[in-house]
Amino acid sequence: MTAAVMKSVPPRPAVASAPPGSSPPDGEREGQKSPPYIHPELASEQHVLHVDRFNLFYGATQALHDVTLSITAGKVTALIGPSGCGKSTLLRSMNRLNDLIDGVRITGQMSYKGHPIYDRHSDVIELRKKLGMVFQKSNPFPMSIFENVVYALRIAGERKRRMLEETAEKSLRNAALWDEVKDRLHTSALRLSGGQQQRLCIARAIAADPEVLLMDEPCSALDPIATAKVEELIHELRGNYTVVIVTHNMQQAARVSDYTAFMYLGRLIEYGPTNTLFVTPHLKETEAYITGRFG
Amino acid sequence: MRHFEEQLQELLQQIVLMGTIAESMIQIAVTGLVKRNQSHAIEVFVKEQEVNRLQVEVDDRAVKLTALQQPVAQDVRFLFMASRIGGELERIADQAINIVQNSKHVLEAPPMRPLVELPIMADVAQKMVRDSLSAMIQRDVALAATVLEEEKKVDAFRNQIFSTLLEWMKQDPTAIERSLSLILIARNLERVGDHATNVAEEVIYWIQGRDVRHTKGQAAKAI
Repeated sequence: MTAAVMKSVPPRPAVASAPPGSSPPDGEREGQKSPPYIHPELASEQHVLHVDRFNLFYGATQALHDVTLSITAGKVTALIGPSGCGKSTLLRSMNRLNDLIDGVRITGQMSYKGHPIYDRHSDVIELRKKLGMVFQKSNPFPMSIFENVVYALRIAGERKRRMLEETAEKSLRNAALWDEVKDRLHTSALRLSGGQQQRLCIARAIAADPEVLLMDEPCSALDPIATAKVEELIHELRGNYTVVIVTHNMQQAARVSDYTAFMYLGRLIEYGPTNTLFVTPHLKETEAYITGRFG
Repeated sequence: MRHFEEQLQELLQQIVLMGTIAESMIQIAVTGLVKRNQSHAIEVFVKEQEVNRLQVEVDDRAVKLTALQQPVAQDVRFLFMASRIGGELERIADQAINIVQNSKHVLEAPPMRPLVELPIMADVAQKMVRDSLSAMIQRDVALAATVLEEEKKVDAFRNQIFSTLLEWMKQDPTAIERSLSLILIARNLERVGDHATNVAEEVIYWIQGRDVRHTKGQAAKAI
């Protein structure tokens, strides 16, 4: 190569100086309010949950801006984005957990299998049975492993011992916990390790026979081994359940999900197949965030 | 600049260095042939060692950065590209060695009529290498696309040289051995052009995420 070409090496060469560079991408997008980029592959999927021009306000603060997206049946969808981008708010809106917060106001629509979620006549308890939630911090009830799992059946009035036992075993097996706890089902759930407690919470959610599992940072408090087990579990749950997972860990989103939605400042920015979004994202904003050249 | 970005930049510079050396090897090899002077052949062999060493280093860095940084998007594309371009540049260096070896037969015999096309073909092939590396440094997809176009020019030169030398061989059977060596050298230069084209295709993939390999230049035209 000639000296002339060598001289043309920029001070911050290609890799470093490349757009998106290190400048925050928000200004342009926030100012222009560009529409999100939805990858065409999503159009051919079968969707169970539709979010349509959904806005959510905490008092005077708007947390979600005109979010429109559809969740694919039987697949794992990850919601990613920096803290405060609205991903957990969106997740919690899907089974109306935000109803429990004072001052929350929404506009727009959300529907599950064609039924409006925010209809004044919709049965919120039934909705939450169909769309079960697994939280960031495992929250086993202070009772036995067995009673934790069958809790939803008990409050639904189920009393048949055999039915309860069958459900407990099936749910614990589905949550990949059965072999570890089958000999101590009646000991306190609080004596389980952190990873086991989280899988117990997943078993408890599964026991209610949901169709959708909403997971809010389910592995953030777990060590790598427990995380790997929960991720493997998520992998096995796909097909039987529709999973929506919020995660700060982008590698986790890349590992476990089929589709990924990138959110920023309460807006959906880009939504598409995970293996495309993490290799050839369409928008510079997405590229900047996932490669860490953000802000 | 983040530490990871610095590491990527170092890797880029290493590839550029590798390409610079490989291209200079072609230059030295062809100049030795044209000027009928093989005294620089040893330099080509020494430089090949350096290119080989750099290829191993580039691959090692690319693997380690992939494992440790878990790159995505343009970063993972860059690291794959780095390793593949390292392979292409190493083969360009091998072609320089082949040119030196094939030149030996030509230079041992008395000079033939000057072969005008061969140095021009060498210039075009070298420029393709330079442009593909410049495209990488400047992230210039349009420049990378011109390299893909240049490949046809190199192929045309090869065909022209083949038929000229065939004529010479028919006219003078004593020129067969030298002519065959020159045909091999034209073939070596054509391979240099092929490798430069592959580098340019990798650069397009890195920058745009579009894989234009095996599209006979059609995909690159869409740039």
